[in-house]
Amino acid sequence: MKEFVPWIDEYNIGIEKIDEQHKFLVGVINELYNAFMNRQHKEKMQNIIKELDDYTDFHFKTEEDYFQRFGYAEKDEHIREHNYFREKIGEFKQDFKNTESALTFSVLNFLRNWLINHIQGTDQKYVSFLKEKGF
Amino acid sequence: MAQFIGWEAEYETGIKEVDDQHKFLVEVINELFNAFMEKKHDEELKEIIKKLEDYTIFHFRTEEEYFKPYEFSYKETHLNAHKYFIEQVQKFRDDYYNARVSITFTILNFLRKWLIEHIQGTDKKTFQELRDKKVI
Repeated sequence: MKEFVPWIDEYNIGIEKIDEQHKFLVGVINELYNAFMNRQHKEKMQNIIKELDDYTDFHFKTEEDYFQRFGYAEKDEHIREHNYFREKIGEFKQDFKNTESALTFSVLNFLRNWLINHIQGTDQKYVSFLKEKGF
Repeated sequence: MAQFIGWEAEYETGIKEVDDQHKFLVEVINELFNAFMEKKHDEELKEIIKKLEDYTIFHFRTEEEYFKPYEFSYKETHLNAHKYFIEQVQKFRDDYYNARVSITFTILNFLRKWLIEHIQGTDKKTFQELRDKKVI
């Protein structure tokens, strides 16, 4: 099956640890998309949504920990974006628990677009900063 | 690679043997996390999961040898917590060995959270109380 979000080279920001986490996150979104297309049962989908929620939080915390440790100037704006996505996933997780029809193509599209825009936009801003710190 | 669980001074219980074993257990979970992220071969993952199970059992036994002879607050709760975690790890090992589940971040996150919360809450309280009573 063609992947919903294929990983392409330009998504790499050049910090291995973070690229690896981004790839993983893209992998979870692909998994959710496949489950959606194949009409998997609710429990299976719920597990994937939980994985998305848990891993997103872990990944954001990894970045936020770097911002904190090295005193990144744009930390607050960046964290605000993270919190927005965390909230969206939390809402979606709850909606899905109430009714399976909460998972729509629009939701998948939102997850994809938000993540890729964030990687290619906001994340790019800290690359040179972290590289100066030895990453 | 940055660690999945970084060791913090605040995790220390003050009992060297227990702290050393906690560090080892944290390392096993980190190892499992790294193998999971690097999509390591099934056999390698199985080995780490088995090590996690064996070491968890060994470690809880060590702790219990320290505290079992004494009375302290929430002793039953502490023992039950050990039993619960061993059951969870064994169930996971069994499911994984029989190809009923794959490793997920959710599972790793559960292991991490449970262990760190247990160390910071239950273990620290137990060992502090026993040290205050000067029995260990």
